[in-house]
Amino acid sequence: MRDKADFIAYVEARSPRLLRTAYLLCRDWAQAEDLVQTALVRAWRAWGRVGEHPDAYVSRILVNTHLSWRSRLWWRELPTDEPPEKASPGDEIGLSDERAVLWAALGRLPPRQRAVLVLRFFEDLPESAVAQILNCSIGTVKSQTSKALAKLRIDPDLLPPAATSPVRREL
Amino acid sequence: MTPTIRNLRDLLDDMSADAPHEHRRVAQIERRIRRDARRRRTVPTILAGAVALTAISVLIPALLTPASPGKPRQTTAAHQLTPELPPHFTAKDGTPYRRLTTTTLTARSTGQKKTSVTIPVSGKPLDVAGLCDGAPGKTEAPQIIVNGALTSAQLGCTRGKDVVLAPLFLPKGATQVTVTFDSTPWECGRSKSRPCSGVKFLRPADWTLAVYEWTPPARPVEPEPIKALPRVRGGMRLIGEASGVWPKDSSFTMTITSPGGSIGFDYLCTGDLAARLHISYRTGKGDLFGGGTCRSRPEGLDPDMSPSELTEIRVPKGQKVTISGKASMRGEGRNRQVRYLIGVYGK
Repeated sequence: MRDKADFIAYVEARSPRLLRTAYLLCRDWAQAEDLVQTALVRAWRAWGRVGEHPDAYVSRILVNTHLSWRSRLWWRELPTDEPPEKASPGDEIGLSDERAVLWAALGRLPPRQRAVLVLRFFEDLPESAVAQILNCSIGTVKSQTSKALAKLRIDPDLLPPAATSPVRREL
Repeated sequence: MTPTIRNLRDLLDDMSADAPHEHRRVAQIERRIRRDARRRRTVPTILAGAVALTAISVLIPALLTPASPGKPRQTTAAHQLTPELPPHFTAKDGTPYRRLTTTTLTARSTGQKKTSVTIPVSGKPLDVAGLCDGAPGKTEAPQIIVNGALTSAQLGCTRGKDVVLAPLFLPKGATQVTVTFDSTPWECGRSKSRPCSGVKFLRPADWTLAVYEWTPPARPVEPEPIKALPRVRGGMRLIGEASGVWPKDSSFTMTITSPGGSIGFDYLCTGDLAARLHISYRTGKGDLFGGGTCRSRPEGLDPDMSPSELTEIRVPKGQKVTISGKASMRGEGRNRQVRYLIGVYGK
C-alpha cells in the first residue's frame, strides 16, 4: 500500500507541474495553488488505492475540481481579456502581442474545451488518457479538440484582415 | 497572426513557465489534510453517539493513513455540502479579494445556530461571503453581528450558483472585530407571545462562510453600458429616464409629464457592486417617494413584464412633475463605479 512518505515524495516531485497545468486551466496563480492543494488533499483520501501511477488519477481530480469550481464558484474569475504580457525588448515584430491575443482567445473557450487543449497540447496526453481523465469517450475528446481549435480559428481577434491564411488551417 | 499547433504548445509552455515557488506547499497540504480529516469525522461522531466514541479511537489513526482499497470512505454531510470558499479571487472588475478567515455554520446537519470569528481590521473594505446548501428563498440566512451589534448586511442563499458577497459594516476606529453569524430565526423568542416552538421558520441550512478583504482598484473602473430600456413595458409607456455613474452622479433629476394614476419605476445597473446601489426618489412636493436596490440584467428588461415598482401619482394628468433622487452605495465602493439607468413608465 502506498504510504504517507510516498505521497509527500509525489507532492514534492509533481506539484510544480500540476501547478502549471492548474494555472492553464484557471489562469490565476493563487487559484491554481488552491486547486492543486485541493486536488492533492482529495487524492490523499484514496492514496491507498490509486496504484503505482497516480498521475492520471490526480489529473482527473484536478480537472474535475476545476470544472466544478467553475460552475459553482468562479463566476467572479477573470478569464483574462487583458493581454498578460508586455512586449519584450526583442519583440520587434509584435510576437508578444500575437501571443497575448491567442492567450486571450484561449481564455474565451468553454472550460471543458480549454481543459482538453491543455491536456492534449501541454500535458501531451494521448486522446485515450484525456478521455479517461474527463470521463468521456475518445470520440468526445476528438470532437472537443476539434471544436476548440475551430473556435480559435474563427476568433475575431485572431482573424487576419484578409481571407483565411493557408497556415491557419494547420490549427 | 497565423497560429499553429506548435504556437499553441509553445504558448501553453511559456505562459505557465513562471510558476511561483511555494516552499510551504507540503506543510499546507498536510494542514489541509488534518483539517479535512477533522471535518470528515464530525457527523459520524454525532450520529453514532456512544458507538462513535469507540469508533473515533479507530478513526483517528485511520485518518492518518490512506484509506485501504475497497474501504468505504468516511464522509460527512457537512463536508459534502459546504465546499470551501477560495482563499483569493479576482472580481470581474479586477478587484482582488483575499480571504481573512473562514468558518462553517451547520444549522441543518448539527443544529449549530451561531458561529463567531475574530479578524484584524487593516482599513481595507471587508465583505462577508456565504455558500449554502438550502433552497433560494426558503432558507434561514445568518444575520451578521459585528462586536455584538446587528448589522444590516444580508447574505442570501443561492444554492449551487454564485458565492454571495455582502459588505461588512465596521465600527469606526476598530482594529479588530468579532463577527458572529447567527441563523437563529429572527422572530424566535423575541416576544413572549411568539415562543420559538410556535414560529414557522424558514428552513435551516449548512453554510460555508468567510470574511474577505478587498483592495480598491487604483483607478475608477468604468462600468459596462446598460442595455436601453424598452419603450413599452407591460403595456406602459416609457415617459422619463435618468442615468448616471455613481459616485460621480450620486443624484439625478428628471421631468415627466404626469400620466395621472399609475406610474412604474425600473432601475438597471452595471458594475460589480450594482446590487449594493440603492436608488431613492421623490417628486418635488414629496407626494411620491420610494426606492429600491439596483439590479444587474445584462439582457435588459422584458417588455412583456410590468415595471418592477408600481405606484400612484396624484399630480393631475398632463402637468409637469420633477422627480429627483439619489444613488447611494451600501458599504465601501472606492473606485468601483456603478452605472445606473432609471426608467419611469406611465399608462
